[in-house]
Amino acid sequence: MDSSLPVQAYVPEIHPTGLIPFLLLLLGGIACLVVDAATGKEGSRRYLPWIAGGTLLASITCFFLRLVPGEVFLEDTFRADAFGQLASIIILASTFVMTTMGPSLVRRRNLPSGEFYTLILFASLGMTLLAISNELLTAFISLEVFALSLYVLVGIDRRSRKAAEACFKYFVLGAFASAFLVFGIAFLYGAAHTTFLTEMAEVFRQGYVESVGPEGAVTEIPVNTMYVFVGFAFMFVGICFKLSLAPFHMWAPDVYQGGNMPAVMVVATASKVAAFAFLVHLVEALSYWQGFASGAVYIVTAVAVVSMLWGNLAALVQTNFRRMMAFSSVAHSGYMTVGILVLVALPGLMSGAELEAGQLLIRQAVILYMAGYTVMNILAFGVAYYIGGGGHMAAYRGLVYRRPLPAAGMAIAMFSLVGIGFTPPTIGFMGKFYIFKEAVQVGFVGIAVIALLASVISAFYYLNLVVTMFMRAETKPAEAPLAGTPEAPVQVGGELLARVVLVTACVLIFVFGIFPQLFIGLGETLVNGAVR
Amino acid sequence: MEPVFQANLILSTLLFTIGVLGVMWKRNAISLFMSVELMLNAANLAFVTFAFQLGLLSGGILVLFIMTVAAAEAGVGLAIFIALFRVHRHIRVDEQDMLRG
Repeated sequence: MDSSLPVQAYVPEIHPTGLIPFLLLLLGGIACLVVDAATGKEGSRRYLPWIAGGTLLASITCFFLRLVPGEVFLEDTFRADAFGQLASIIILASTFVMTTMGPSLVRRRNLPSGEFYTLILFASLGMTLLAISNELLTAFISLEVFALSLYVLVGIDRRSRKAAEACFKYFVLGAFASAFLVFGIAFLYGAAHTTFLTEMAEVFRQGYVESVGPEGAVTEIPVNTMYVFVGFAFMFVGICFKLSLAPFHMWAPDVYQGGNMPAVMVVATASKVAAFAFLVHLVEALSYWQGFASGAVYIVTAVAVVSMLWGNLAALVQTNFRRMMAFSSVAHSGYMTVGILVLVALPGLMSGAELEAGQLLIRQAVILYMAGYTVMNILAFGVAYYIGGGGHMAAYRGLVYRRPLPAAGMAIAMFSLVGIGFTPPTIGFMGKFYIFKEAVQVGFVGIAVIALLASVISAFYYLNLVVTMFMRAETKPAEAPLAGTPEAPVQVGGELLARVVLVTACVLIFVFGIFPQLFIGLGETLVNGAVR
Repeated sequence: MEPVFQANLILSTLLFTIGVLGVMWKRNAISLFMSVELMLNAANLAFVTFAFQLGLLSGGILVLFIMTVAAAEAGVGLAIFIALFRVHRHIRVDEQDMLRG
């Protein structure tokens, strides 16, 4: 290139191939609507699962074909680093599992299948875009796209009183949270004069904004500390709602209990992975602001500690499996927030290449934890869905004698969810190990100890479920729910795909637990070989 | 310029606070949703204020997007309220207590 040219034509950096996986999801969703309208009830029930599932698999394949560039693209709007790409793949895998559960749910509850599969695809579009977004407005819109889809999916069973209530609570608190998020974005915009996270990081690193006045005079406006903190605090509260971090977790138990199981599974796994990926990118940008750590560490520590302790203690006394899993997910979000805490503190401790290496390690630890959390929850919720029983603990009494394989799967999930002490070869252990190790290395020994104690508490209720499954049922096990009610068990027999998915989840728990580097290495491979 | 800027920010914060209090105190789902809309519009006011003070165009564009999202949210929200009304025959928030441990 001739660099002596004084003016170069402006070439927008779009990388159109990077958009293919997301456009696929959008087109797949529209295709579902069209096919639903064209084929009628029976036809759409037959074809839509294949369209939706195929679209999701094709979208995942795009990531493996390295179509998505491993850095910022579409004019800096998206940043698909290894972390973001792995998060997207986790999200798509989770929504794929939901489509495999779809046919039985749609048939049993007589749901409108067109809306069901379309909303799954739109939700996965929103979540993947949020996970890689590098711009606050894009992040907000992506968040709303998936949130609005998930509100409807949770309450799609319109005849169920419980589902209506769960959907209502999810919507009201979700809308409340997104208002917080927008208000926070406004103040960060006021502080940094930009909504792009990479530019924001640059502004915070140098501490002032260069503003060009009307006469072309460049003035340096210092960053307003108050705006940064107000902006972060409000955005953090908004994201805490989405992650069901205590004390903003009130919706979680009700939604988990009232919503249909496949939707709840996606709310518990994919939506949290997306929000968490965004939070990591946001905190990374903000942490360059000198003095950010001094204030933010307290906010983040408080939320993490309260979530870990309250989540686990409240889960101890739950008598419903779904409510127990809700509080368990509060606690797991708390463990992951320890990773955020390290990210906040890191720029105060090191700089340059060392800092980048440290941030990379944290991102890897967090993504490994999120992958583990997703796989474990898919397995737990999947088994619970196919067992039926509406989450009542009675359904699990003596399960191992009635249905040994699902019971074994549930036991594996529970052991992995405990994640300490005697469960080393599981991914739940490795995820926790890496995050706590980073926390200790940065000097948050106290937090790591609290996290370990909280994990010990969690062993009681997870293992309690395992013990329940091994107890002989004295009476006839089922106060058998009537067929056709949401509580009625689903026979796994006809659903080969569902069985394959759950067995895969079991295998992944051990494979990634023994070889965590496989998963992290996958991210590096995706990015470093990416097509520019 | 500067006093107007300050006043606008304070107004926006006040509106947001009113919205938060409304969500906490109101018992009817529609009033509750109106409070959420008030919070969103408070954020819009903050965006416009910042954009005006900094002489940037982007703040105004952001507001347009947020208003669109708010409209979509209203569409889904009212549909959810109607669905709730059909099965419960009311939309009072404090009587939603079927789900508990």
